[in-house]
Amino acid sequence: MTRLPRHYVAARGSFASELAAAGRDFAQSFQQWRLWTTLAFNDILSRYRGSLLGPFWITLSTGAFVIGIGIVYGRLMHVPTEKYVPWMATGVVIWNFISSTVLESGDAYIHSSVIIRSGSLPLPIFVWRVICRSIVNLAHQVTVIIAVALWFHFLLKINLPMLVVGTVLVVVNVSWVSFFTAIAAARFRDIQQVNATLIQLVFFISPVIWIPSDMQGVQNLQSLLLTLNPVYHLLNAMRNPILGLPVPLHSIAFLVVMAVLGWALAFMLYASVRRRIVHYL
Amino acid sequence: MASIDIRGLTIRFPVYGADHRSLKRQLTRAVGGALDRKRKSGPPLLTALNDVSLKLGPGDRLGLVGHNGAGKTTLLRAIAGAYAPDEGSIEVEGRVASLLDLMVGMDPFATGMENIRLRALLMGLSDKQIKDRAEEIAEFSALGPFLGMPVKTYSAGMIARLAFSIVTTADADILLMDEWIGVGDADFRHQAQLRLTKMVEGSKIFVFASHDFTMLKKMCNKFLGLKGGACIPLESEAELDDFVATA
Repeated sequence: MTRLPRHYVAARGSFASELAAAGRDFAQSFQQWRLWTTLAFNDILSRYRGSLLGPFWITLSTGAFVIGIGIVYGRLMHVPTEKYVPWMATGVVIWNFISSTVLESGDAYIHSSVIIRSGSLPLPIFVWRVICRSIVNLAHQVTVIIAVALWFHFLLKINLPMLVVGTVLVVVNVSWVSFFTAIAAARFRDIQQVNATLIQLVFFISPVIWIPSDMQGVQNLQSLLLTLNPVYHLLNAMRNPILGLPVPLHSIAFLVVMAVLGWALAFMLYASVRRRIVHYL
Repeated sequence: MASIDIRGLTIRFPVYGADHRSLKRQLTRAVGGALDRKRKSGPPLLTALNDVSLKLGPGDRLGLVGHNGAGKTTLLRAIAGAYAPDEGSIEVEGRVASLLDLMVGMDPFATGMENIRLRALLMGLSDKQIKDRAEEIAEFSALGPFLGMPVKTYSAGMIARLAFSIVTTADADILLMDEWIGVGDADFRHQAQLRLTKMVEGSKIFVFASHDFTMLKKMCNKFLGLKGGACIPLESEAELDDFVATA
């Protein structure tokens, strides 16, 4: 007779045992990748059910944004179009990924509360679901980048290996922020409002649609806007390889350190509240 | 062999985001668990289960009885693995299928067929297993052409049929059900009962919470009373009647 799965839970033990249990949750959640990818795809399907273009609305709206802002802002800032549009288009696509992942992860546990309350699925699954959904959305925006690259003839300048490294750095960092947000937003329902406000603010103070070298006064705020701004480094990691620019070493170092510290914190937070998350919902 | 072994299980719910005092006032006796009034800091705690012990083996069909808020659903959810104990332990051997919430993991805008896949995936079935069983599920649900329609067009009874069909086809060792069968029509209830009997004969475990005592007596061979989170073992149907009369 085959051995049946055994599920044993006792009262909360030492922090070390909770850390081990959190580790098992993560391991199991990776094993069940088919579940969260399916849920993610179904979310997208569900969101665009009955719409003609489906998820290509994401492509279309990004495209419209790039054309509109590209024409107006390039002139306002006196930057030549062939320099401004590639910079801004890549910035907008990367920013959309970062902001939508962080924003939607606030609902990760809340949306799945019915599932969470009726079984023993490892909780990280629901965060992976959100991240996976965001990656699929990001993939839909690649068309915009390719179109811009073709139009401005920089398609062959794209440094693919570096882009892969940069994308991994971005995803790993955005993931721990998502992990954190999912827990915090389930516990404190104000977090979503705070997030929405913060994200808008960060959009304007980060070089998403403006080019630091072409702006006056950036030097005075160098540390706030660039050096200490994680979003600046995230943008660098993905944008520079696309534009055929080198990724500054300090950006890579910043992202690696941030990923390690961030994940360590997020993991410890998860370990200490994993038993409570179900009660937050 | 499938088994459930619960020892001295205590589960406390921290109640977040509610006004401490007004909540206390709301949770006056007769309904609900015991509220801890001594704690000064942190959220108020609601003791949903208090020192519950329970041992079930193959072929056991346990009926849970008690008032609203006595802890029936909490116990079911704890067995399902959703709640971790604050004291004591839960040990469950075997795959658990739960019918605690009919719409778990279902997408009202997706068709019945798509929902079969979603729900079955959530229960841990592989794509191949789902493909193999989809027909059986479809047949038992007797929903026919409606399986191609979005679930939002279904009646409560139809959703119950679909959910029940998926959950009982998943080859679980332990089946948990929370007061739901009432929505099915007589024909479906009869079929469901046959299927459950067959499942339990195949040395599975069945735990069922209900207020329908005729149903409970028909379906179960063991009973457990719950009152304010504490458990009261009921050895016979006579004791069950007593419990119902006095509680």
